[in-house]
Amino acid sequence: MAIEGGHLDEYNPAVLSQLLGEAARVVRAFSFAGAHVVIVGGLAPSLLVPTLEPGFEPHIGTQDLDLCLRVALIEGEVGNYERLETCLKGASFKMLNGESWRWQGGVALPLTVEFFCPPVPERKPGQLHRPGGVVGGRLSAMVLATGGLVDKDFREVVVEVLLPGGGGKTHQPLNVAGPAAYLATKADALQRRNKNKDAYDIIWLVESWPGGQAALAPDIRASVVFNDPIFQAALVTLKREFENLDSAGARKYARFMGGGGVDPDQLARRAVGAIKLLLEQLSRP
Amino acid sequence: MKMTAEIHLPTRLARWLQPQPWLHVRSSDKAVLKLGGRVIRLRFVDVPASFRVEHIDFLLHSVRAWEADEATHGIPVIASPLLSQTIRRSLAERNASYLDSKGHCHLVATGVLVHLDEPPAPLVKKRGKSGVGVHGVRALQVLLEQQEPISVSQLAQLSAVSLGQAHKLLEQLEQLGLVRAFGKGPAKRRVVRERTELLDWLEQQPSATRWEPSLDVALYARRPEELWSRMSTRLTQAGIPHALTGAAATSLYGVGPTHVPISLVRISPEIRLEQAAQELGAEITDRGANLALLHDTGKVGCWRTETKNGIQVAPAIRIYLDARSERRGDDIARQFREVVLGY
Repeated sequence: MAIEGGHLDEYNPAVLSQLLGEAARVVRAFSFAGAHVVIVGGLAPSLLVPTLEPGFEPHIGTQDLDLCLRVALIEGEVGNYERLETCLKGASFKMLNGESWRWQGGVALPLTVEFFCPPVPERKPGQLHRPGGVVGGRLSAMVLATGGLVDKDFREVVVEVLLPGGGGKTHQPLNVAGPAAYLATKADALQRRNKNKDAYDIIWLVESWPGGQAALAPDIRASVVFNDPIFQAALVTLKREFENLDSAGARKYARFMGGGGVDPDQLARRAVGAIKLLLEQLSRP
Repeated sequence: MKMTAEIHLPTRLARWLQPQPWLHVRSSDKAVLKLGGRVIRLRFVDVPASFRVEHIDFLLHSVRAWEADEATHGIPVIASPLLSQTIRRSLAERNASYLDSKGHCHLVATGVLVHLDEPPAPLVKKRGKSGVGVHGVRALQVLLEQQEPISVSQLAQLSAVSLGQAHKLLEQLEQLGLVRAFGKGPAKRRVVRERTELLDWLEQQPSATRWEPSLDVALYARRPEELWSRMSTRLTQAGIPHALTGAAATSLYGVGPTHVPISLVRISPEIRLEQAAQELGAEITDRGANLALLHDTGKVGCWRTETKNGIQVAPAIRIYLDARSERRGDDIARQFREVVLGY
């Protein structure tokens, strides 16, 4: 499965329901620990905006499931990690290419689960963490610079899913990063890697939020992380990445959405306009 | 023997040809000549107006080498803004086909010869001046909307032209056989004979699809409908007469394209386009614009606008004419004409 995230053609929004089913299966496998994982990746937008305004396109979807472990799981003993790992293996997931924070499994479709965690002492963003120290071949989580925001800003959504493998239909509660933490996480990713889809995920959420930027801004301002320096820094990053048509974020959006005779400058300009309007709305008293 | 032929040409070339009683000209993506049950493909080879007679042999040699099979590839037609009489004669002597913007046309295929070499004659019998100005176009747009017979004064009032202009236009149309008159004196009324024929005639008038000064601007919106609504609301609040037109406006009738790169907006000629852009809060740009503000010469778009979903749109006839003028707008215009105008 391609994970480059270069162009929307690589994605299939039709598998969203299957992906949700797989995600629910993983979270259920974690049992009580499932309440301490938060969805932060490409699945989050669809969960945050389950109902679209007329005329808006559904989110293009994702190819993996990004889970951020809450502080409650990463502090203290290694037992929590071991239980998670046991659950993963019980659900037929295997470590992917020896990377202890990435596991692959899935019943109805192949699914890669990536584990992240908030910053911990002596572990910088991008490094791996496991209580007591990283051990080869055992589950760890990658430290996410914005993981602390995710730990505080998340919401529970209940989705109707069809569990894979004939598991039946159920209503599954899932924790998903709030819009503030999600945007901060994506802004961080945007400036650190070359995945065009990061820009798309940001713009999609900002534009598809019911009522658009004017409705999203109050939600973000009300977030417990709004005044957090890390979140404020993320807003600066967003501004920089979408400053003008030639800014990196704007070009990434244009590349991801491009093709079919659509003017890349028009796409870039749209991305610039979307972020500019959000930042204007956020700066209003 | 002369027989009725039908020629389908891309819009830019269709405008070069004046329809004849025996030659119907249609805008189309495909260039073909239909004659006596035959359909002959035409493949145009563009040459500049500076094309010289000494270049002919080389050009024809190259073109015929590419297009060896007439049945498969169609006949090559040399197209130029201007072909001198000497060049036209030389091409004809070599059995080569040509077309220029002055309406000179010579099409040669096996068993077929279509030739137009004199100044183009009008579509229907002509006894007066054939063209109309922009105010006449505005009046024609109004006339096409009328279901009932109309008097000179009614047309003048509805289209904001003088009585003299309305009278002259109706006289002209009557002489051309496009309207029928009945009654006398103040009771005299005219009625359109065939809307299809009148619209065909109108779209051939240079003033109906003239180039307008324009200004490209960018205004952020999440969706096209939001863009049009925002544009129309802001211009209305600023008291600027305007109208969405072309392919974008056809979308509001449910027959438009799924993607409209640039939305055309006609702005009252009394307002500078830069002022309209400022009132819109739009950025004037040559990169990534999504709105083109058009100087609405003759108020052909801003007069008798309609409101669709809260958005001011041009009269349907104007939407059609503007859509035809847009890049790749032929198909959209054709569908709009069939579905919305119905004639």
